[in-house]
Formats: sequence, C-alpha cells, structure tokens
Amino acid sequence: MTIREFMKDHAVYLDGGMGSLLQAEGLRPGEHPERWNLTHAEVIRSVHKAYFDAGCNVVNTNTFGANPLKFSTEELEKIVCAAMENARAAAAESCAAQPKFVALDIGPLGRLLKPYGDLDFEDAVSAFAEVVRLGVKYGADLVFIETMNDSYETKAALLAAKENCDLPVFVSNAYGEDGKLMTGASPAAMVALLEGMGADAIGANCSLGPKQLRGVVEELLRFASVPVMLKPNAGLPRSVAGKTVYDVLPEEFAAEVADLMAKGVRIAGGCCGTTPAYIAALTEKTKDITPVPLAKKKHTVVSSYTHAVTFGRDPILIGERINPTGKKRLKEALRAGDMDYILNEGLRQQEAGVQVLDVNVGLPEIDEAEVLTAAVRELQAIINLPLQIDTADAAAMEMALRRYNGKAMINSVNGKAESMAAIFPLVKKYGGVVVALTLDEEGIPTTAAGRIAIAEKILKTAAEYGIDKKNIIFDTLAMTVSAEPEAAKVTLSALEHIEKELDCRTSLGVSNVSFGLPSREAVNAAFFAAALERGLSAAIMNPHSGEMMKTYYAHRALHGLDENCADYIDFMARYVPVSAVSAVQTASVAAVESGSALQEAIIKGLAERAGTITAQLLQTTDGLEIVQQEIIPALDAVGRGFEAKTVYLPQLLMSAEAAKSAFEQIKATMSAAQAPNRCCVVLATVEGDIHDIGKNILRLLLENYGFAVTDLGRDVPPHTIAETAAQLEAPLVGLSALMTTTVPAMAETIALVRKLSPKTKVMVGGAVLTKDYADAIGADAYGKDAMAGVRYAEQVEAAL
Amino acid sequence: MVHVRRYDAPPVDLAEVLRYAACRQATEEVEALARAAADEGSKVIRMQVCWLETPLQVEGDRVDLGFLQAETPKLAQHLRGCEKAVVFAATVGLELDRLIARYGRLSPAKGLMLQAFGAERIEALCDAFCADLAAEYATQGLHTRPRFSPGYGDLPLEYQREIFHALQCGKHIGLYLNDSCLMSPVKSVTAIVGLCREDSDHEKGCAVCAKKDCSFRRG
Repeated sequence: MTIREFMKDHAVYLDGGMGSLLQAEGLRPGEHPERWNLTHAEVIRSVHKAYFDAGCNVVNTNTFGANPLKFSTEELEKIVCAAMENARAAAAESCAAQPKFVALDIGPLGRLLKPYGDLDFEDAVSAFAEVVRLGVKYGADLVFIETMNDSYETKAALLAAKENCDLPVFVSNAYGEDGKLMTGASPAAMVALLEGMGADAIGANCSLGPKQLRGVVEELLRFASVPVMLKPNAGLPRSVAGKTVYDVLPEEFAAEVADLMAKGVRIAGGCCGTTPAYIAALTEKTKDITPVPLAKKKHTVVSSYTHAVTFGRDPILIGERINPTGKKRLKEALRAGDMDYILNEGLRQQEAGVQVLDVNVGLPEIDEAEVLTAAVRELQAIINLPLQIDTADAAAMEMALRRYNGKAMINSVNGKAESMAAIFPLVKKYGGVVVALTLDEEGIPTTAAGRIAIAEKILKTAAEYGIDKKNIIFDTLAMTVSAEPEAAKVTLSALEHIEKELDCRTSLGVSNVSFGLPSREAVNAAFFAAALERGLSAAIMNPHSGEMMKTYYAHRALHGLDENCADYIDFMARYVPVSAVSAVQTASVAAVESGSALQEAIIKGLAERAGTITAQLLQTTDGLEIVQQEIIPALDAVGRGFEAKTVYLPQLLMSAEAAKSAFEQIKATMSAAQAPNRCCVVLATVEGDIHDIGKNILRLLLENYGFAVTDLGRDVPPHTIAETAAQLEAPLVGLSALMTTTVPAMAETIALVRKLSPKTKVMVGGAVLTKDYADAIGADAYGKDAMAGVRYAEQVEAAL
Repeated sequence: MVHVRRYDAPPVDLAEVLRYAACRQATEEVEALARAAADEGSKVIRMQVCWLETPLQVEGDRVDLGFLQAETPKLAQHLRGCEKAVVFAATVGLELDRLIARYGRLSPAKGLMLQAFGAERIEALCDAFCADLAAEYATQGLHTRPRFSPGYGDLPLEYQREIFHALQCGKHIGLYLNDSCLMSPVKSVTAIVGLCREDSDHEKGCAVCAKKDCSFRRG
C-alpha cells in the first residue's frame, strides 16, 4: 500500500523529536546530527525503531540539515543513502503491525532568500532539488518539508520536490506565537500557496506546543482541502539543572492533539521535546477515533507573502494603473528601467484601497519576461498586496509566476484552445487564480448564452488539467454601450448566470463600457453598481476614480458588508472631490504673494506644499524661471547650511524631496528639449552589496541639481556598470559600498571602467570608505557625503 | 539550551532617533518626520531575543566560549574575571526592513528616519534584555558586564558564524546571516555578556570608544 492510498481513510501518525534523543546519546552542541547516520547508525536506527514501535506510520529520515549548502556533494549522497537505509532497517526490525513509510526529511537551508537575504530563489530550488533526487534514488516513500518559517523558501522546496519526483509531498511550517511565519505569512496564505502548487498535506510543526498552535490549526482546517497535519513541540522548553525540559507531558500532549484530530487534523506527530512515549500515548488515545472526512473548500483565494485575499460576496478591487496603455510616463519609466515609478503607482493604489494590484509591463521594445519578473520582484519587496500578473506572453507569465512569492492572479486565459493549452499547465504547476475571458476563436459572442457556453467549455478543459473551478474567475467582458445598446445587458446577464448557476466568481474591467461618452465616470459607476448587484466578485479599476470608490463603499454599506458603515464613513471623511482640491490650492496659494513661499517650502522640506505652490506659479511663470529663481537658490541655501553643519541630513533630504515635488510639476509642463540638460552620472551599489540608502540619497540630490542620473540599483556586477558608462559616455560614475567585504568588488569595477570607458571619472562613497581607501582602490574622488558628491559632479561637469 | 523571549516595545526615545539620524538640532518639520516614522515603524516591529548560557575561560588574550575560541585581547580584557557568559541575538523583525526599503526608494528622508528609528529600537531592546539578565543573575549573586558584539573592538565579524550556529537564530527568531556576515533583518544585534562574582566599573557605550569625533557620539 502506498502512503497516498493509506492516508485516504486513515489517520496518519508521524514520529517525534530526534535532536534531544541524540543529545542524550552524546551528540555535542554544534555537531551535525546528519553525520550520525554514518557514524552512529545503530543509535539512529534504534530511535526510528522506537517510533515505529510506538505506532508511528511515517518516520522522517535524519536529514533535516542535509543540503548542499552544508555538505559536499559526495558527503551529502552518503548521508542521504545511510539515512534512508537506517530508516528502512528500523521499519524491518520493528514488529509493530501498522503500515510503515519512510519520508525524506527536508528542513530549511539556514539562509534567507533575496531580497532581504542573499540567497537567490533559483539557487534555493537547486539546493533542494539535489536532496530530493537523492531521496528518490535511495527509495523514499514521500518527501517531508518541515519547520519552514519563510513562505518563499517553502515555495522553493515544494517546487524542487514537484519538479524532481512524483512522490507525495507533505509541507509543514513553523508558526510563531502571533500565528504567522517569521517572514509574515498567515496560515490561510500558506494554504493558498501550497495547495495551489499541489502539496499533498499541509501543516504546522515545531516552535510551540499543541495548545498554542490551536489557532493556526483551526485556520488551516478552515481553508485546506488536503489533509492537515500537526507536529507540535512538547510545550515550551525551560532549563532545569542544566537540562532542557518541556512543560507538556505525554498524556496531556496526547489529549490536546487528540482534541485537534477530532476537529479535523488527519496527520499527527511530535517535534522538539517529544519522544516515543508521546507518540505511544497519542496512538493509544486516538486508536478508536475515525478521522474527520476531508471537505473540499470552495474558497477562491489568492495570496501574497503575508496574507490571503478571498473572492466572494465582499467585492475585491484590483488596481489597474500599472499598465502602460495610454500612459506616457509609465512607458518612459519602463524603457528607462525606472522601477521607482511603478512602485509609486503601486503604493498609491494600495493607499487608495485596492486589495490586489494588476501588473502589466507590455511594450513592444522591451524584454517583457525580464521586466515583468523584475517588476514582480521589486513590488513584492515593499508591497504586501497579492499581484495579478497580466501578460499575453506565456513565457513571461511563467517566469513571473515562478518567482512570485504566494499564489498569484493570472491575467488571462480565454476559450481559444491555444490559450488554454499555454496557460492551464502554468496554473496547474505554480498555482494561481486565472481570469478567464469569455471569448474564443469565433470572437466575443453577442449573446449572454454564447458567453456562458464559452465559460462552460473553459471549465471543462480546466478540469481535464486538474484545475478546480474555484481557481477560475470569469470576465464576461464589458463592451462599449455607445456602440451596441444591448452590450451592458449581455455582459450583466452572463455574469449573473455564471455567479449563480455555475457558482463561479467573476471580474470585470468596468471602464470599457463608457467609451465615447461624456462624463464617463457616471456611466462606469452605474454599471459597476449594477454588476455588483448581480453578484460581481471583483473589478479591475482605477481606485483614484471617486465615483467608482463611492459606489464600492456604498454597495458594501447597503449589503451588510461594512459593520456600522464604518468603512463608508471613513472613506467619505477622507474623500475630497477634485473640484474642491483645486479650490483649496488656489486659496492657499492666493495667500502667497511672492515666489519666496516656494523657497520657504523647500527649505522647510514641505513636499506637498512645494508641489502645490509650483503648480500655481506655473500658471503665470515659466518653468525654467521657477527653477532658476526659486528652486536652485533654496537648494543652495540648504546645501550650504549642510556643509556648514547648521543643517542636518534629515532636513537636507526633506528639502530635496520638496524640490523634487516642485520639479515634477515643472517637468509635466516641459518638453524634453526644454529640460535642463546637465551631464550624465551613472550610480550603482557594487556587486555583493545591498545597502543602497546612501546611493539613493545621492541620486535624489543629483537629480535636484539637474544631473541626468542613470541608477543601476544595488548588487550590480562590474561589467554592467562599466558597459553602461561606456555606452552613455558618462563623464562620472558614482559607486557605493557599505561593507569592507564588497570593497574589492568596487576596486574591480573601477579597473573595468578604466578599461572600457577611460574618460569617465569615478567617485566612491559609503560607510567603510575613507579618502585613503578611495585612493588605494584607484578612485578619482571620495564623496564623504551626498553634498560632497554633488560638488564633485559639478566640478567634473565644469571641466568637460 | 537556547531560550527565546518576546518583548513588548518600550516607549520610543525620539531624541535618540534624531541622534541616530545624525541630527543634532531638529526643526519642527524634521521632528514631525521622526515622529511619523516612529509611529509607522512601531506598527510593524516584532522584538525577539534568543540566548544561550555558556561556560567561559579566559587565558591571556584567548577567550573560549565552548563553541567559539578567539584570540582577542580586547574581548579577553573585557571578560577577564568572568566565570560564564550569555551569548544572545536580538532583532526587531523583517517587517521593518521592508518598510525601510519602501521609503528608501520613495522618500529617502523618511527612509533615513526609519533607519534611525530601527537603530533606536534595537538598542532599546538590547537594553531591556540586558536589564532583565542583570536582575535574573543577581539572584545567583552574579553581575553582568556590558555587552560586546562581533565587529566591535578586535572581535572579527566572522565570529558571527559560530554564534549563529550555536544559537540557531533562524529557527528561533527568524534571524539570518549572509555570506558577508551581515544580518537580516538588518536591525539586529548579537553580543556576549560576561557574568562575574565581582562587580566591576566597566565603562559603557560611547565612553569606551576611541573615536571622539563621531557624529553619533553621546554627550
């Protein structure tokens, strides 16, 4: 019997702790327990056997820390081979009657993944893959990924298992006292991620006792359709006379775990502090219970690295603004590789109240797979909303989905055979909720019945791929009502049928409906309200549209989705109509007699005010004149103050940001030819270094002073920097490094710049650098702070 | 064994935040920014400490903590007379890194202030933990010496590896070391605290440091 067959109608018992038992046998602190598979095989076998004797079905091999980051390829293979033999031997020796299985145990790699650690996702996948292949080679019955406290690393491990074997994969995470992983994910978010990728069982282990893990287990049970497992510690540890003891004894442990098994846990064992006595008590206590049958959950859920978003009665807003169609600034930003613009757009939409962000970077002249993946990575570094990955390029979709930390929304598939053949395998492999457009080879049906028929065809094909209908959201396509009077009605009745009869969730891109009409917002909002009334679950929309947001909040208040109408009241308290905004601006600026108000706003560092005043000044004054007469003098005053140590860094930066906000207003009115044209400066934090605050500060100031900055970001390889400098014929390159360990990379970069772009000057800065150090590595200048950097750039420019 | 403890955040010392932001005199606007950063940062920090009590031997310039042996005259001098030590790791959590990264990209002024806030928080956490240690060991008649961290004095940063291995920081408090021996989350500290029978008058903080012209120096 395989474990898959056995777990269908049996509770499955796992083993308990290993480390503390080995310590009792003489394992020293700091010694690798995995080596004991080779050096103390008898000890390992006797622990495994004791667990089988106690009634356990699945024993985990002693390979928790066995991975290529800790052991050489050769030693790793010996360890896994011996570990598997030890577990097999124990199964054979034990006379216990229950079915016995051996799981390849996989623990965390011990390194944090990028962007906050330095281990690349694909390197993590490769490391896990090596272990999985060895496990398969030496005969594991299943793969057991456990004690993971980072969602991204968990994904890497599961992906490696899925790509390298057909064995069942159990995945268990270590949750903290707050019920979340160390890197922030909730149990619901982990279920979405892991179930989406095809984990066979999902659970919690380690860190806490069964009592403290109750909340986590209940949340797992609420969302998981696959069996839930629990492998808690024997309560909390304390030290008694130099020995570690745990505060929950076998009987109490068994009672608490049995209680959670009665609530639905189907796979149970123990972690730190538990011994064969705990497992024996548990199997004895629960020998007569029938496992709670598995219930298929119908929730349509996507997730980020922190939380899950569920589609249902409470409508979900998907922000549409990260999409270059019709947006000149975004197109420029994408061509220039300027991610900050995209991040800003994402944050503004989050602040405006969307729950999901659509990400579309499709432009003909860029490498969409690269840019889309970079956008996903950068957005996920700082924004915790789930993303909807929006591309027509299946290869770009796959690359972005693979790197996505969570369960993404996928935009989109349609009824064409070709589309389904390209997209459904990705949904199956990486998980996700896919938006399905009700069109096919014949185009968009003009009737509701036609669109419903396509929806049914899509569902049928998805089922053939093993994709549940809960992971499909239908878009019944809002069409232009000014061109086709029945358009809105057709869309709405197809939507209602799909929500109610097919019991599938729906989403609409609402604004198409109003093309060609005046006051489009009024039509959009009325259509949105009608769609919500018919059961619409989500809308792709512009959250900066006041009418749409009003409709959204009013709908929720009217349908009992907003307790005490609190969200509605809160929104209205913050809501300022556009006409009122300009009135306020006029009033506040009317009080300002002269331009010196702008200088004052910049010197004080009031970004919003600086922007408002500039917008007002632009009505009467030329942009360049504002720059020359107001902004530059104010910046100079602050810069001189900083150099004289009467102004400190925070104020310098606040002033720089205020000046930037003034510049933004002016740029919007200027053509590229009119823009002040100072020389080009290439900035980068060198390879191996991810500390970029100093570089960001310098960039802000240089831009303020009108330099054309190309910011290559952080952790940038020498050749990228040198090639960019050569290509742009940049007179100046600025390099930053925080760590002594990355100064060699800086020296290497300088040498390469000298070779490829001999006329370029190089300025260096960063915490570990000094003038002497800068000279020693061959830099032309040492920037002790950001103002010094600006002054040197001015000097280089003057000498051109 | 390794102990783990969570801490509730003590009140924020805004003057300290400004000091870490290298700001000796704050305008009203700068102070408002510091307060905003502290309010926003306070919502995401998660203070945790894990620690281990170890035997300690000091012979000449050599310090032996069982899992770590180092030839470091300054640390040896600092720990002389101690019979054991506590090695600890403290962090305010990854969410603050995310917030700092967010503003580092979008508003360097606020990013800088959040950096300063993080520095103030992690020091406050270490102070709270060391005060607890002092009180707890006082019942055994032991005094605690000021904390001493890798990368400080003559204790090379590379010893972080041994400390992380012994404390299993990743598993216990979600703290990781990268190839360059720097920590993630960034606002984290590891340190060694000597325990001795005799009270000593070791100087603490800025007073022991030779860099008199440091812009962060207190007093």
